[in-house]
Amino acid sequence: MTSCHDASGGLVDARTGLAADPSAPSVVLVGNPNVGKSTLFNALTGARQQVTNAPGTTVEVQLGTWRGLVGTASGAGADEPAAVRVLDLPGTYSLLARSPDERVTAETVAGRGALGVPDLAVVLVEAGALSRSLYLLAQVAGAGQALVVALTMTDVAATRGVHVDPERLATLLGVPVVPIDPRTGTGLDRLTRVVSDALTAGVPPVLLPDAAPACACNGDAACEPGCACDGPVDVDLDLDAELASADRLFTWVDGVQRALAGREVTGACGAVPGASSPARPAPVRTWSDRVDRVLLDPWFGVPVFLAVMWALFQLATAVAAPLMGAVSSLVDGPVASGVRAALPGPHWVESFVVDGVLAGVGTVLSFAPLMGIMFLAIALLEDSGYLARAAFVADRAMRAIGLDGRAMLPLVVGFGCNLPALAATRTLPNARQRLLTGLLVPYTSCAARLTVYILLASVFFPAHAGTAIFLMYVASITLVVAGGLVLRATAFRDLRREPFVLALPAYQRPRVRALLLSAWVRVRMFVTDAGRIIVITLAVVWVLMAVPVTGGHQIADVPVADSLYGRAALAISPVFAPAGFDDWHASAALLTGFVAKEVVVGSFAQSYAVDAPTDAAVAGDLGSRLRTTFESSSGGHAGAAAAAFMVFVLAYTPCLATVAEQRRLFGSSWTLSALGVQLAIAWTAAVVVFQLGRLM
Amino acid sequence: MDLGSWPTDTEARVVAVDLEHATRLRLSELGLRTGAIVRVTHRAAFGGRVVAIGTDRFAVDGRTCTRIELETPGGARL
Repeated sequence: MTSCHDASGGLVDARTGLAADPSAPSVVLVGNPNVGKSTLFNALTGARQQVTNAPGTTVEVQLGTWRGLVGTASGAGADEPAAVRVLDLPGTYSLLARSPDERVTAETVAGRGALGVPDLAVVLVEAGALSRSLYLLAQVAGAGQALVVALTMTDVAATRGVHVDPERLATLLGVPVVPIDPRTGTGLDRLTRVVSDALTAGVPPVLLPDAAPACACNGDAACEPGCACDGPVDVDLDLDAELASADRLFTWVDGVQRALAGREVTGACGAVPGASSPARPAPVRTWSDRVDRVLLDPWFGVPVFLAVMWALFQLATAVAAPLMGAVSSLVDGPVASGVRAALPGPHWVESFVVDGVLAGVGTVLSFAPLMGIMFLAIALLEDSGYLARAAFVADRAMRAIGLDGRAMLPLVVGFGCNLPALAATRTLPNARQRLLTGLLVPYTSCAARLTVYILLASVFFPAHAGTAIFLMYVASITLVVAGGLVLRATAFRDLRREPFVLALPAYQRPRVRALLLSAWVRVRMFVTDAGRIIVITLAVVWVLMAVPVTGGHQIADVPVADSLYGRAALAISPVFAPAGFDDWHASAALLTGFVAKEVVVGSFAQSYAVDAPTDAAVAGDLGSRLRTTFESSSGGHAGAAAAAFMVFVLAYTPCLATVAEQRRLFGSSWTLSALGVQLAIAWTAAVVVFQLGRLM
Repeated sequence: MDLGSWPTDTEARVVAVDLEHATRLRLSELGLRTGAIVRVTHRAAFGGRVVAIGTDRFAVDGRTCTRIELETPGGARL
């Protein structure tokens, strides 16, 4: 690992900007969802952060280095100054975990996670949601974790008639309380100083009544019922004991709130004798309430939601396409020409660098604007507060197939492009729901597949081309619904159908800088991680297409039919005999389609050595060649074979970029399994369509 | 009367939450527990409701609303 000294004097990794020393002090950010945790993380770390999965899970966590904060590394020798690591944990309402994401937070706070033992927790307490924030704080304190409180959204609380005195709260809790606004940076310098002091001198524990999360068994021995270390996701717990423990914490929380309101003072143990409920502010109709009057209206809410989804679809297609085209043109044009001119040596070297490696790099870079747009749009929806409303509006429809309401967003985006749809799965708060949705995304028929449908429909069903294409989208939706139901009944039986109860954050004006930073970090992760797989795979495809298998050809100067690629296509073509397209032209196009569905039409043209049509609906020479091929391979049922081919294109593997992103998000095992299932479904569906079609 | 039938902008006290234990615990953690004072601020599509608990706002689906029993803060059932 290369490293260098950063401005703060700590050691940081030169590539990622992260603290290089694993013994460096670490701070975790803990809080409810939508409390401003990620915004705080971005403000504290800047671009020096990394998005990664918690070990052994598909739960995403963000690691970074706290700018301007120096701690002390506890090495074997003398203590040395070290950069402080910050970990942004998944938001949760409770350490009694009910999802994989919450489990990562609970285990890390308890010091039992794979992410190491944190030295300090910064607990974000939302001023307008004190009750549930303090409840979580009590659990963190009960887990034995030293903590500092960051008080957020005091401005939002003020609009609701709630004013929290940080000094008073600090006195009541016995730990430092720092009011901050991570969106503007207000209070962050003081938070840094307080955390620095806490790391150096320590902080006193929060005084709590006896409660379940206070169990100190560290997971090593049989512990009390209700202890968070039991792993409540899959272990039967004494839920009555949990409720009783929670009730004790609620009493403590209520007492703190009453004391804050000046009505009663906490006792020595922190509990407030006789406190039954906190003071209630008079009901205030806020600006957010007035907006929700429209956006959640029984009649207007759904059309507004559909309009937002339509806008996202447009972003993934119409808006992104010119930018992607511009990047491709730049790489394929001036950059490729420059590289060709600069490269010495034989033709095949130039071809490998330009048509193999550079083509891969160009593919990755061309997707970057699309991913950037989608990450920005998602961050905008999240930051503004609308995403939670969208989940509420879509919940009923998605619940029918066992999905979370938030799954609607990625599935809609998937009809534009599968790749940003995977990016949109991050809005789901449960790792299992993200995985389930991510496995369904490839069945949404992206715009790239549309070019194949248009070509084949116009050639084989000229009088009913529109209907044929429409039926492909019906088939796509059917696959998503059926896939959801089957997966819920098999590999995802653990996903319970739970009531939808979601805290609605107040609407806020998004901060451009925070949005751009968030999008930049995620695009960078896509380019570096998924991009590597894309470039390597495209280089391999180049080798297959460049190596001749018959005499009389040079490397990198060979017709497709005489290349390794052509022979591979010929070898696999019999597999498609039951589906009516047992022909190497078709199988070669499908192989190319694995890289990108956009090039299926071009691949057909290349294999026939004819020009690709500029308009897929006017196939020209290519159309007549296709008719001949499909007539021959299907025994005179070309229409049925073409329909089967279209169904196969719909259902088989998504493009290479999507597969690479799936692997980055969900791991190799799930990705490879999904690819196998998709190929099996595609083949079976194609065979059924052909066999039924030939009977008509 | 259940939450789904409760009139908007009228305060109520939660009398009972008739849901399985784990769900009841999570709702309690969010503040929706027996004895809590709530107010329906909006009616949404498919029977959903937006409920105010203090200054917090929660979206609750229609089916869950029917499992939460309310009374007036004074103890009268509508």
